[in-house]
Amino acid sequence: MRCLKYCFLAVILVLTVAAFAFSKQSPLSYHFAVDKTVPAKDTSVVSVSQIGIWFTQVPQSNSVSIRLVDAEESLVTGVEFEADSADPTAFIAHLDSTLPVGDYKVFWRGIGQDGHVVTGDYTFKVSVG
Amino acid sequence: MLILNTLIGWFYFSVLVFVLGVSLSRWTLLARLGEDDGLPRAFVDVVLIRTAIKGGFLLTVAMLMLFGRQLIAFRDPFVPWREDAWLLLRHTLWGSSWVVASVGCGLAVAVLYVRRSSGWNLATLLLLAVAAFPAFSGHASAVEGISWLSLSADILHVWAAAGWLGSLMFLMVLERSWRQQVSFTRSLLPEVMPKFSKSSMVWVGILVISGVLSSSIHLSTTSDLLTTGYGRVLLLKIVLAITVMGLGTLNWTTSKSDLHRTVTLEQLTRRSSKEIWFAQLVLLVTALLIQWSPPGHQAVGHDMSIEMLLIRMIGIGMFFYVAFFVLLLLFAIYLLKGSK
Repeated sequence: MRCLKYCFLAVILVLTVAAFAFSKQSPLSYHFAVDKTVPAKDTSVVSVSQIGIWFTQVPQSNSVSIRLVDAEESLVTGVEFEADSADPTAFIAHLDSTLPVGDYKVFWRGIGQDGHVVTGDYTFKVSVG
Repeated sequence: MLILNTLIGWFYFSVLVFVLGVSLSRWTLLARLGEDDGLPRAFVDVVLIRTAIKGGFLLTVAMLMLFGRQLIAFRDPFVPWREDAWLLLRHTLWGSSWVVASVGCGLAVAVLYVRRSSGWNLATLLLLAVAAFPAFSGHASAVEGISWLSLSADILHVWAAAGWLGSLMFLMVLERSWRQQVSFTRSLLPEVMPKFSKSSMVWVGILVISGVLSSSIHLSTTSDLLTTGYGRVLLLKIVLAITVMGLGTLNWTTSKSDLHRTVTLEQLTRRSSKEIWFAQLVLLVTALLIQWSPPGHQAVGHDMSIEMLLIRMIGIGMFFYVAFFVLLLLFAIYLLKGSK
């Protein structure tokens, strides 16, 4: 009887693993994700006057947090991202002064309409013109 | 992290189904049974209250675990933990739903603790509301255009799971308490099982209808069941659920025979335990399922195959059919009460 239970559990485990293994979609790939960014991911730009993220869905209100860090992963202060009133999927930071030359990383986090917390990051580079 | 999230989800679903099941069995199975039916009413009432309070505490723990899981995922390393927790709780839809559900759960426990048997009305209503949390914090709330349908299908699904499996779990707890504390030789199952079998038929019907409806909303075509991760896990859930229903049918046939015979009774108890174990697997797979994004989240008619549209229409039709009969039943109960 006990042997039967273990066999059953093993079958469930194999089926679950198979569901994972043969799936093109990772369990961590959600509908709520980044659609496009400005500056674009992994690009090098001469100057930046605004940084923006466009999501694939409207996130749950107040759930989005976006941080800009430099090459030392220190927070770049004075960069405040705000939701675009015309496009609720867009979050944009208008910069008062252009960013110094260097590598930058943008960390973002938000909650999709289905309650999943989704996080991510991307990099860009400000180079000499 | 995926395994931990799944285990927390399973614990939450399991406790929620159990606590609501205790509360629903108070009304659907045990409300009209008394000493004349061979049921020790006072003992049953004590076990009901005690189990619901203990289950309510466990549900509070499960809710705290869900919050911890969400907060860790929500964490912004550039602000203090407290600030993140406050933002999550006070300013997001997920947090608001969590607060309402947690307060409801705490109130239900408090009401039962203070008012004992006279608090069942309010406690049941509160627990029914608490069971809406998975719908309001999950995939059902993300459906565009027909969110009212997906939300009500999800809520009904949880209620039906509780009415069937939660009630069965409670009956096993009741039987074990009775055997341990009062009589080792006599069983309570012959008195309650026939009623459970009847009510579980209704709950299973609602469970299947709401499940079909939800699936038709979350999938865009039947082939999604084989081609997407969400579909495959859903298929696994369906297979397991059918197995549990098969076991339930076996139990139903057993409960129709003479339950006062020791052999039949032991057979029924053993099969019921199996049914519960399999049901736990269904809940575990459900906890895994909710971590995928469903492939078919779109408004009615958009990018949806004909067969899925048909399934959805049938689901909606059955949904309203059930709703009509529930309303009719409530009206009949109202009339019966008025005539007394």
